[in-house]
Amino acid sequence: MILIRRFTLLCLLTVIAAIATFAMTRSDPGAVLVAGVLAILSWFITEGPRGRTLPHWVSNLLVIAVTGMMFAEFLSARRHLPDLLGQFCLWLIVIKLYDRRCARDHAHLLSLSLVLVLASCMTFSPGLLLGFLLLVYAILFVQAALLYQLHRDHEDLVLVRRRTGLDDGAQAITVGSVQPTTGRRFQAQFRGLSVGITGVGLLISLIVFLSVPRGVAIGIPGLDRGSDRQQVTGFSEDVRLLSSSRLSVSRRPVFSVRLREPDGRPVRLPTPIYFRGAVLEVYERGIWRARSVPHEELQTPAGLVLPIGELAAASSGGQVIRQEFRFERPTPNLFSIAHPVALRSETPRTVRFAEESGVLRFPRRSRWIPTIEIDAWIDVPRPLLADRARRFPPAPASAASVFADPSRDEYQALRPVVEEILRDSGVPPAPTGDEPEWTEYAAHAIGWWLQSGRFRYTLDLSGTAIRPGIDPVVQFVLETRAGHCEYFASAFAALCRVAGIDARVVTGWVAHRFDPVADAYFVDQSAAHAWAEFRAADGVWIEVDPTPPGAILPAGTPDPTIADRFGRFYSVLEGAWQQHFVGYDRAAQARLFEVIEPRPGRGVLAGAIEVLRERLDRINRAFHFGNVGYIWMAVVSLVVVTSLVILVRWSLRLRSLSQLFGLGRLPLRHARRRLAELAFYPRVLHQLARIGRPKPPWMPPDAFAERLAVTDPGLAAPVREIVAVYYAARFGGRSLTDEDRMRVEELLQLISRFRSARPPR
Amino acid sequence: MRRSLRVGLVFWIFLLLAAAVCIAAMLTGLNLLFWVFGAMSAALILSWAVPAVSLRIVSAHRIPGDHAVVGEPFIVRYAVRHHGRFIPVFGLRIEELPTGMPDGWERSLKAAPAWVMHVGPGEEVHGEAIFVPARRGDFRFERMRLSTDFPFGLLRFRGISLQSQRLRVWPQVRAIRRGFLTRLIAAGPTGMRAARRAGRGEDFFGLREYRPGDELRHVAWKRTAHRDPMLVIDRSPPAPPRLRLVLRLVDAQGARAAGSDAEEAAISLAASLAAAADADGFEVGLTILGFNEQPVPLRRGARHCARIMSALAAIDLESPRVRATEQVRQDQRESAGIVVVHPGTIDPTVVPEDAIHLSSASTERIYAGSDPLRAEPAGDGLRASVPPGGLRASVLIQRLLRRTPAGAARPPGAPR
Repeated sequence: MILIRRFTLLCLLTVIAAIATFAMTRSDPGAVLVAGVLAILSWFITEGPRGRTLPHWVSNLLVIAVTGMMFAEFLSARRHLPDLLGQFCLWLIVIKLYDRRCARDHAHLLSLSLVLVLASCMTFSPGLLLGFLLLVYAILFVQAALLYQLHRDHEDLVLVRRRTGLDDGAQAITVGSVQPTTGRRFQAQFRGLSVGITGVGLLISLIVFLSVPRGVAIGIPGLDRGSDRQQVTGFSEDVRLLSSSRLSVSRRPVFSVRLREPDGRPVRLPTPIYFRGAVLEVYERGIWRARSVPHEELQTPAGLVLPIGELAAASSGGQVIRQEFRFERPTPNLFSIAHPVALRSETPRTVRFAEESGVLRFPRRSRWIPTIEIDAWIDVPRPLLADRARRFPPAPASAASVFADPSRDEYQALRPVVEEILRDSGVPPAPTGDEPEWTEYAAHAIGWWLQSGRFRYTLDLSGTAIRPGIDPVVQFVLETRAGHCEYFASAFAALCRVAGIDARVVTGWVAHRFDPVADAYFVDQSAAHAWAEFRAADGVWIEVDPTPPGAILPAGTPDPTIADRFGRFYSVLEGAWQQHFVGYDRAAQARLFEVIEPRPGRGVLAGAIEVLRERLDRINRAFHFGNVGYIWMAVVSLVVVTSLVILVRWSLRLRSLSQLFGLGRLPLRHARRRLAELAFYPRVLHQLARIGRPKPPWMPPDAFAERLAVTDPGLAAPVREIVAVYYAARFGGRSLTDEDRMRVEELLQLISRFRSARPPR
Repeated sequence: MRRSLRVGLVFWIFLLLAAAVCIAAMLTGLNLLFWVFGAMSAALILSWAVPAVSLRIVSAHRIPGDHAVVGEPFIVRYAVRHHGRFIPVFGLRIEELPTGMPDGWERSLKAAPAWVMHVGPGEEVHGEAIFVPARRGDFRFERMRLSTDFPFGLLRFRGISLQSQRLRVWPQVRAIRRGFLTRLIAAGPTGMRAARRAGRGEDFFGLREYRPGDELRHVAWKRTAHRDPMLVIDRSPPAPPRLRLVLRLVDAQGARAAGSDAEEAAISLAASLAAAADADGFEVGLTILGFNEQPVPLRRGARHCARIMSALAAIDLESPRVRATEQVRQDQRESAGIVVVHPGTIDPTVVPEDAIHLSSASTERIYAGSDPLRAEPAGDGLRASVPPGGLRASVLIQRLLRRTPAGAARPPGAPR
């Protein structure tokens, strides 16, 4: 009955969890929070002996009003259908909470909460908190559903037994007991079963989640949301501005880097550090791509420094910083501060270096290495750069033709903007011969204009519709004026090109999270960034970050507090959630099933061992323990396995003792005391079994002692004495003294010696 | 146990919803929807697996009841035994299935199924089902059905267990007006008298020699004064009054005396009289006229009363009738008051002259209440009780009741 009484509260908690889940997915959760408060208040108003519920006509009137309101909303098409459905269910739930009377009403509540959660799931960027709430809701829902079955059946039982009349229907009468029929310890068994059902349910749902084919709608017009699939922050070798979804922040670790002087002293820079990964010069229909530039393939000697580029020879006198990278996952790209001049790796590797863009990367099908050191010259003299730039002329007109061609609509649309920017900044609208710095003035004016507050930095573009007839950059500059770093960098490059300045987009990482303990910068996927470069009059590429500075956290964070550490831990969890759950797509599914399938030329076991080794390797790298980490992992694994074995054996023994001594219904304190008092008895049974005289479970101890008196008189005396002590302790309420315990030990020794005296028959 | 699966509307709605979620997930690529679809699939799988396993590891056995009474709820108990070791069983419903036979329970009994909330591994619990018989007779139970839809109520697994069993339903027993039987048979040879044995009482039984332990006040002093051995007076205990119930279900020509309803009412009246007489300490016997049944002798006690009720319950009104004048003459030799219960009109020709005649057609002065049972709430359960007052009884032969102290009714025209 206690279980059944708990159902109402559990049902309310489930509903509140559903409301909280729905509130998480809404940008304006005010109304939802009001509904949540009303839902909580319903417990105090409707429950209890003095509880009051709404009259039926009032609740019916409210339902009609809510239906009419939602129908009007639907006709006005101001909301998405799932959102509207969720809102409708939300208010129905609130009305129902004040109108509940019987089991059927609770079933309606649970069903409505399920629909509300389904509406909540129709979001493209679920955060970790939403996932956690969903998990909580699922667990509560399972418990409530289980209890609902019992509650409903019990209510049916009561109704049937209180039904009207026996023969003439004259009077109501209750027949028999309305107490449910239960066995012993039904609450504990219900808890166990519900935990089991929840666990198995989660396991099955996980299997289904992993195995249901993804990407079915790819290629179907109107349904393929392929461009919206990149919903998580991260590095990309191209920039696509065609998405209109919300970008989630992923905290998945990418790499850590230590900055050092050539003599080994650590370096910590006061500003965010930009690590270049790709340079994108070709723009077409909202997509920035890298231009094919000449590159050279270099073979790094093992453990030795390999000079790269023309600047390497001259870098000896400049400020060179050594970047010691430790990557967390395979990547074809290498990242570096501008102007890399040398490479060093423990194992020989082939690296491609493009002198013109300053970009490093591994060739395709090259084996990935987790660590590499790259030297970068950070204060290259401008004349030296200008000399080098003369070797690389501006990009062909085709690369910049979209915004540089006056005949294009994009140019025509942005040209007035550029003129306005330059006019407002006091910069001449066109370069003049006596002012070679015009290019830099104009580019910086454009950058400042983008940072001036006219634009809003956001990762949520779900409210922005991509119009097919307009370029995304033009739409950003002229209409939406809201976007993330890729939009700002693209706008800068486009406006520069309109102004006649050669510009390009650079993607990479911006590092600002320094850990003084590890003496390294840690970069996760949320640090992916895009900025821009323009070509000055002397041909030198100058970096500009047009993204508003508030969007990037300041560098040089102070020593981490507990909150920081928790935030970092949460970030790691969030990253894992985004990567493994939200980002689980067809490619991830294929990778997963590659692990399961036997690899060519290898058996399943060998493949599994290799996968396990890779996983261990990644775990070890994550903790930065080096080779000692494997020993630590082995030790920890051993401890965990041993603890599990001990725990299982201990629980089994406790269970058997509990059954033996009937401790199930005793309070824990008394059970412990009785266990301590009677601990000798299992040893006696064990000893008797060892000497070949096991006591049958069904036989009382004194009857067994009497039987021994017939079959083994020598054994019967100590057994009889021990049985007397056992009875006195278990049923007589007697506490054993030290003399009793010593006597029991002596008797146990007698029994064990009996084995050598008489072999078992 | 034969098992089957019942798929209800809830299952189809849930399946439709799961399919819709699956389609939405595939079209949108939203992983949350994929997970919700996985959870719904898990619910479907568990809805199939848990009840299927539950029904495999339990068995039910109907515990035979003694008898039921028309109009009174009858509790049938089922012993549910769990044969498994690990998984407890929850939400088990047990109900009787119609037999489809002429004597099937469904012809007479309204049933409420039993519900067992929990059976743990290795345990046995007893569930209760309620039956309310509508008419008397022998009825048969054949099959019972165990079903459960735990945990999610989507699929109901059912198992049918065979256990043939008969139940005898006694006639409806209604409360007789207080003092009615005492006034009917108050004294005389059929009423209270001395027993023919020694015991505690007031009537003289005889003299005997004194034995240690005899009370001095029982010593017959006058006789003892003339004899050597001391004599004491033995007294005889009072003997209970005797009542022979004669249920006339046949007329003088050996044909059926009245319609079925009237005969059932007469049977019910006979049962009520027998129960009331037994409760008042009478020795009761029963003779059923019209059938070749042996008369039930005059006895008292609960077992004897049950024997009378069972005899009344076993009457098959559709079987052929016989003339039974000889039975009545045998009954006449007993020193017992004879009450003849007639279905409908009174026909005094087939019974002894000094019998009292009652008719089931008019019972306002006999029964103590208009309603056989009345409910009163009592805690978590309720118990049936008989309310005082509200008479709906009659004595057919009011004239005879008023004329004789014992209430002996004489048929019209009988010699005085």
